[in-house]
Amino acid sequence: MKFFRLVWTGLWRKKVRTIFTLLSIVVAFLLFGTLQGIDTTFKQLVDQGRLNVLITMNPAGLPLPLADLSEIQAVHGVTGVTYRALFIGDYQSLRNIVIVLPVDAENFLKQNPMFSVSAAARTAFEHNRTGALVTQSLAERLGWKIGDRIPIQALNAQKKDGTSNWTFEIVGTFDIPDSPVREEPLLLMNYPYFDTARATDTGTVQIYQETIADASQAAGVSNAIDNLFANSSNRTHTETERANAQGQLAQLGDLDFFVEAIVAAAFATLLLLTGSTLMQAYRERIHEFAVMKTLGFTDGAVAALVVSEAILLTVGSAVLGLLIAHALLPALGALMARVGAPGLRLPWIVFAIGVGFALLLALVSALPPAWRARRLSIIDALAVR
Amino acid sequence: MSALRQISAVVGMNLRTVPKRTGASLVILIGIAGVVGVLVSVLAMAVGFSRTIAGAGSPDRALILSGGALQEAMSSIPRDSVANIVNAPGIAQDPQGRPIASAEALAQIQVEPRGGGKPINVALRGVGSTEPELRPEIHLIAGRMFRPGLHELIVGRSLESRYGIGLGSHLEFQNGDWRVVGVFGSAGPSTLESQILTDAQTLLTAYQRTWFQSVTVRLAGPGALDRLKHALAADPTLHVNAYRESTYAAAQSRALNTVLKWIGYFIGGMMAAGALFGALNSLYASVSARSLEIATLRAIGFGAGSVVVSVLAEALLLSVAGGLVGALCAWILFDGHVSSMMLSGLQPPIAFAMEVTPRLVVLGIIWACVIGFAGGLFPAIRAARLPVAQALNAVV
Repeated sequence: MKFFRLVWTGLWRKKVRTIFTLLSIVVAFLLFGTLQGIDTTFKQLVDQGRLNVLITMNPAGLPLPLADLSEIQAVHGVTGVTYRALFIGDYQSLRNIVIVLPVDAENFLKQNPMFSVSAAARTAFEHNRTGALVTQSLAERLGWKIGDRIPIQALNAQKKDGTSNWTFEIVGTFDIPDSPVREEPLLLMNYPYFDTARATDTGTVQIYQETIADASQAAGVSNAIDNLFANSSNRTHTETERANAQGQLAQLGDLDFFVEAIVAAAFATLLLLTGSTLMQAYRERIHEFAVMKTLGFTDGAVAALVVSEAILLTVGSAVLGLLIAHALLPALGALMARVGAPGLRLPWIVFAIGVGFALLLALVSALPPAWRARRLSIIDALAVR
Repeated sequence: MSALRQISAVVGMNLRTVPKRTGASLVILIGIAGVVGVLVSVLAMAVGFSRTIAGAGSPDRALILSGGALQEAMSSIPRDSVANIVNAPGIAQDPQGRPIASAEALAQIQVEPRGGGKPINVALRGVGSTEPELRPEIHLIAGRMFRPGLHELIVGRSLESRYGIGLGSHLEFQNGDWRVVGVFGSAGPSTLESQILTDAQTLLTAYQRTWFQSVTVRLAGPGALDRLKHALAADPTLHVNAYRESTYAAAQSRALNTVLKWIGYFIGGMMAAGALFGALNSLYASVSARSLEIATLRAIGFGAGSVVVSVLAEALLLSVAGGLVGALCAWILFDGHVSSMMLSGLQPPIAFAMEVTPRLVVLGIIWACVIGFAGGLFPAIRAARLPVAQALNAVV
């Protein structure tokens, strides 16, 4: 650490140049952090998909009859079944999208323990026909309080009275800790209220969710469920929650490819930039290094000085860029939550990978000047002028 | 010596020494190539996507959806209402006097790509018997038209080229075996090319449905849409809205198009900032490496203006070259590259080809010039202000 001042002073030899280099590294890592943050959020949704939970849907996305419930419950290996429908609505304007999930109040929360709801809210929800539980983030954003009656304009769920206005009484909020889903604008409503009031598709659900006793039997149980309905007019497709999430992610398109292409383009440019800047700085300091060697600095110490400066610059700027991304992502996520997207965070793993890249960048671009600084002969260097 | 000759002499001298500063010059060139490449690629998606959506819409047709529905997938029109709709005024008629109109039903089916892979979701559209008069841009490129009443389909050419679902393929859905008897294409890019068409009545029967999603009609001429809208609004049994198809299509792609453009400008803007700092660094370095040369020129009578121009010329030349390289990379890698995206969660993804248009290339070059100019200006001013005596002294 006693050489820190020396490294620091060397770094700021040319202020303007260092600032520009720093800024371009900050920008590159800001880009990296933002894009990877978005990418990992979606991957996190897949990873959080449970392997001992199955999802049954119609392969074409058509509704399934509620009458299938008792048959699914009887399948060997299934320990619990719940179901839900879904519609999309908005509160006051299309800027406030709300995803409404009609559920069977008792079972849905039991089978999905990641939904954290207070006991009071749970009871209130079970006993109030038009009661609704909403995500904490949604309630905060739209200023909803417990006891409020709120109208939701459905985009794809008409009522028997010809309107699409659904009114709910907020009975509580829920949170899904450690999941990007907690930022989604979700509203849980009672299925009986939904089913008796809606104009079309009565007596149907969108998905069944089965909890199974043994995750290793997932394939067998899935087949057993699908076989039940193979010859009916409403065939089913059952897969694990994780496989289901993966399928949804695949629908989004080539997200991975674009993120990687853009990050690669930015980093390739950056490598060239820092490489040439460091080489230039070395050339200007040949004389200085020779003097240091004359004073007794070893070859290794001089080379280490060059490498340390590079590491301090790139890792420092990278951390700065990643911190900005860390601050920016939740804001971006809040903006996207209005259209129903999950929340965005910069996971620590991305932070760590970013710092790793910065270290690599420093080592690769400092290698040529460090090598030359090490081999520098005092006599030749001082003889130049 | 005239100012112009002075400038051209200094610029020429400066540019000839660019190859000696390979590293620094490459930083500018590649940095800007990266910016322009990413910007042009993302915008090429937006262009291809909106062209494909717009390709399914014609100003000569109207789309009729149930009241309040924002998209076809959200709309439902009961079978009984269809006769009232297609007999309304403003709809063109074929030589036999039948209205050129098609009550259409949509379904989503899962299809296994030939040669394996994950099943994909595809939109199946049931259309009426006047389809050829209604959508003349659609033409068969192989096989024949489906026959009503039979489980026969025709598939869009993008499904054939991407997933190998073509003539002779059999698809299983709704407890039926459906045969592909034809492949169709559209005159331009169109969303229909990633859909499967069949007879609407056959589809309703298979799905045991009693409602259609939409009615598409050919308009009789100018002013026909207003007459049609008026007649539909006057009929108390109908709760529908009519839209000009081209207007509807444009509105459908607007939101996603805006998002794509925003992503393009946001990422492009960030990368541009990075490239700008790189360019500033390189050009400051170039000026300081040439300080002896610049001082000498000033000492023998060259003006400050010609020095400024020479630095700017170096910056602009490198950035335009970078912009061209970036646009060329985007063109080689992505022009015609087929990607797919969802318009909304309610519909299957739409396949579209990315398009690197001349306009995008020009836009990319403009960005490159702006970055180059901004990056060159301050180093150029420093070069012009270089104290001559001091610069000459420092080295001698």
